[in-house]
Amino acid sequence: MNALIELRDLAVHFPVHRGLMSGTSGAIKAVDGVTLEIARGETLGLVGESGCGKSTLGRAVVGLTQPTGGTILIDNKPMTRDRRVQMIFQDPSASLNPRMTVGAAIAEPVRLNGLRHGRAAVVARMHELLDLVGLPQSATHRYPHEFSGGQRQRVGIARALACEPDVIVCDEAVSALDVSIQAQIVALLEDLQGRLGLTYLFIAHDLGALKHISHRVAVMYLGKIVEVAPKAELFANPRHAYTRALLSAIPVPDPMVERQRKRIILSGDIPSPANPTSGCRFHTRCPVAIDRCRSDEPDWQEMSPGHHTACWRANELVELMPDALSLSTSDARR
Amino acid sequence: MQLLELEGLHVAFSTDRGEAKAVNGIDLSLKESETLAVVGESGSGKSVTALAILGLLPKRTAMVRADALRFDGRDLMALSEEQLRAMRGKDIGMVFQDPMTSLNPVLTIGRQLSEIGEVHLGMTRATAQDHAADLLDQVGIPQAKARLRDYPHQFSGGMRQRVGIAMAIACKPKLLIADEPTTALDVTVQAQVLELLAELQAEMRMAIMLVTHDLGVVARIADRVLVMYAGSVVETGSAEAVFSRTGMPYTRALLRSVPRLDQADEGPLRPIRGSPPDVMRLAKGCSFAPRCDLVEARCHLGQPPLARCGPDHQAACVLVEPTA
Amino acid sequence: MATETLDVGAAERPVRLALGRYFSHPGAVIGLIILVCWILVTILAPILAPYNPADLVARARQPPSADHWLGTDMLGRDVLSRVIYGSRISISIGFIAVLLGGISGVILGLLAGYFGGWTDTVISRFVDALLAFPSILLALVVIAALGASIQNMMIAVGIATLPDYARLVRGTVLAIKSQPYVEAARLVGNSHLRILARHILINVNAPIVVLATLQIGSAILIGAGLSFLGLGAQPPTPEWGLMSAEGRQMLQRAWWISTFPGVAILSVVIACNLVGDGLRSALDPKMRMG
Repeated sequence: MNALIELRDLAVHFPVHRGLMSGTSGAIKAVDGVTLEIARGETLGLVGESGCGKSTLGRAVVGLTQPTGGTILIDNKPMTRDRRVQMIFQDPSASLNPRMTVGAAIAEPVRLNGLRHGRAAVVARMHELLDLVGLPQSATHRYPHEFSGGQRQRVGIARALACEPDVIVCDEAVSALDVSIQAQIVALLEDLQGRLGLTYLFIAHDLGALKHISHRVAVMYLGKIVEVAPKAELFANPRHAYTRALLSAIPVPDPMVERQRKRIILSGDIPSPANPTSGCRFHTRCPVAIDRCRSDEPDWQEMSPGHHTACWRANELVELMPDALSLSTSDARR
Repeated sequence: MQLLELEGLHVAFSTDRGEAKAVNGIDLSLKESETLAVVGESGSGKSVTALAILGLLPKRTAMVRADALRFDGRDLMALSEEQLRAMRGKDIGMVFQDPMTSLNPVLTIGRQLSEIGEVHLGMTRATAQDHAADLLDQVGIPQAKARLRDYPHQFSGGMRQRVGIAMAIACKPKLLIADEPTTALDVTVQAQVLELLAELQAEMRMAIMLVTHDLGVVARIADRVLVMYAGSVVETGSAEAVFSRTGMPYTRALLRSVPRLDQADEGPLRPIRGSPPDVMRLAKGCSFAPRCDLVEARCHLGQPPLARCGPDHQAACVLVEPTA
Repeated sequence: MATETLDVGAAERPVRLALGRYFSHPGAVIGLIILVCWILVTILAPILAPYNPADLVARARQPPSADHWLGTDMLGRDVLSRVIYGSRISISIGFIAVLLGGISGVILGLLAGYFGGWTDTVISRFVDALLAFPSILLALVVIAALGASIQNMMIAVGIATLPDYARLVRGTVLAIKSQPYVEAARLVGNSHLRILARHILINVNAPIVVLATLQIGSAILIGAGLSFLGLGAQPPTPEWGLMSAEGRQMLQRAWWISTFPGVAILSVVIACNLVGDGLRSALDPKMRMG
């Protein structure tokens, strides 16, 4: 595969300080040995629950957090913080400087990175970017608080695009928005990818938007990737117990489907990443864990081309945890 | 008989910029052991409606007016502040998005739970303690007895919401009003909490009014649905009718803009254009008209009333063919 | 793709909203009027003052009369003229000292808050050390080291007020630094200096302005206090603190010599506090729309 971004055994551990004198004791292993590749023009969806390390992973990719182990390669070269890798943030109101006009926020990266020279060229580029994200030129002299959440997110996207990036990390880029607005932003991101050949790392806890935009999906649990597969394959045939539980937990907006679904209700919450357990990290909540899961960390195995999982019971899951979404039966509906 | 009946609720807030009409004349009713989901986007007035029923809107800025508000045969608008407060703790339970709003951070969970038993149910301290432990057990908190000594911050987000639910059901309320109870939770934890609510409802026959923006959650647990847009009810009916024989273009567009996990490939997204209207400046016509694909000239004449479009199903759209 | 029509709420500018909030406080308006009057007095002193403040124009210790509205002092100088000219010195002490203390305090606070680590440790310890002394005592120490003069007094008062700015700015910067918009600014290629100036300072300026306004009052007070103790302005300079000091022995027989400069100090200090409170509610980011 011709990978644009490659993570090799990436680790981000945060030291835990206890008390004044005792210094460092232990570490929170937010990201603990992640190997992933994203091809040029591809969208990799990264899904996981809070505390699984997905945001830390995204921040490491853009260079906001320093990895403590492993490497990040972009175009086969070690990555340093670089305008080619940009980020779209979760909260569109907090990610824009409240005292800076929309025009200034978008023009700033153009000027700072020397992408256009001269005032007229910068302004022309800024108008081009506004148009690209579907905002009128009249937005130029307005402040972020005058816009709705969806419009602010468009400004955030324009600012990222102003750097002319190859890769954009979308960190929960739509989860703070209203349902109807989420779809607008997802459609915009898809449109931009088609036009500009962008590569996305789309991080989300909500599978809806992620499923729509992604080409491949990676599932993260407690600092590790537990399953990666092409989108259709992952949703049709999840081969990790956690993925199956996650899919089962997500309600579908159709009461008839919901009534027929078999649910897998997990017990407990995600354990703390400060002291992960031995073996498979999911075994404490896994309804089908066996002794081997508690003692040995599962191997990374390829189930079908491009479909990898780290679950000892991958081959028995279809019988053990019957298909929660019943994809085939509900397809014909509506 | 209806447990909760609300007719003609209007709520307006006075702000820096003038009067914001948050709720414009809505009706709703709820039967025993029924789950009503109030769905809408931000600014639709769904949470304000819940707070108005509970009498929890700030008196200084909110102007609340209703033709009728009856709960369990009593007129809530005639009650004094004191009587309302008693009712809120006892007959009507409340669960909020952030459970910390109903928990006191400096008191142990056991103390807070047993206090409810002592105050509302007239229990002795010892029975109230046992009652508290039973409640934690009932909402699925392991080692309930031991955890009574813990403070709210010692619980995880999901467990804290369970404690919030335990507080709400401590007096076996007839009605539970839950405002986005699972929005802050992870999906696997959300599934646990929804399951818990359904179990408690079956056990205690309480009615649930669930305020949410998540159509999936609605489909999972609601019997009846009320869709709100810009402070008005635009569609209401049984969950099945609203989801499968959708009458109002807004509801249909909303359903279409949610990517479906259970369909292999849903094709390109069809988002709703524009943004929800500013409640400071509502136009005279249908409030969804500016964003509607099926808009006609008559949509701008006035807000269409809810019209019957099937058994237990009403929608507010000029395109709805009224059925007898 | 279709360009969305920009449907934004009534586009009130933050400035106009802030002004509206400011002028809805009667106290703030009164304070502003008093302050503007005093500033006019400092500018128009030669026109307004009936006599030269240094000239002996009448008999000493005359009570207020039609010729000398506020009476004359122990040497026979016109108290009104001296109060008018004194405003130039006392008020400029307040402004300049606040400017000195403000600029250095803000810079220290920005550096400590933004860079953290040992930079923060060094600056914070220094500021804590300054804070350990009451401001007047601190100013006394500085004067003792530099010698008594108006310039040194301004420096002393500036240093005395510096810790308040440093602490305020450091705290605000700590809160703003982790905001996504500051991280976004880093990602799009801003240097540290640019981030500090364009993205952080601009968002802490409201509390700084409020603090500075309140500090002008206390700076004038400390300045007057130092002069009162003989450590600031030297006779025959018409400085309010010094004038109060000069008259204090005659308070029983000639109350007007000390009282009128005192009233002048009081009115400026109260006006500054009223304006500061008004600005605080006008600029409070929590009350800002959006």
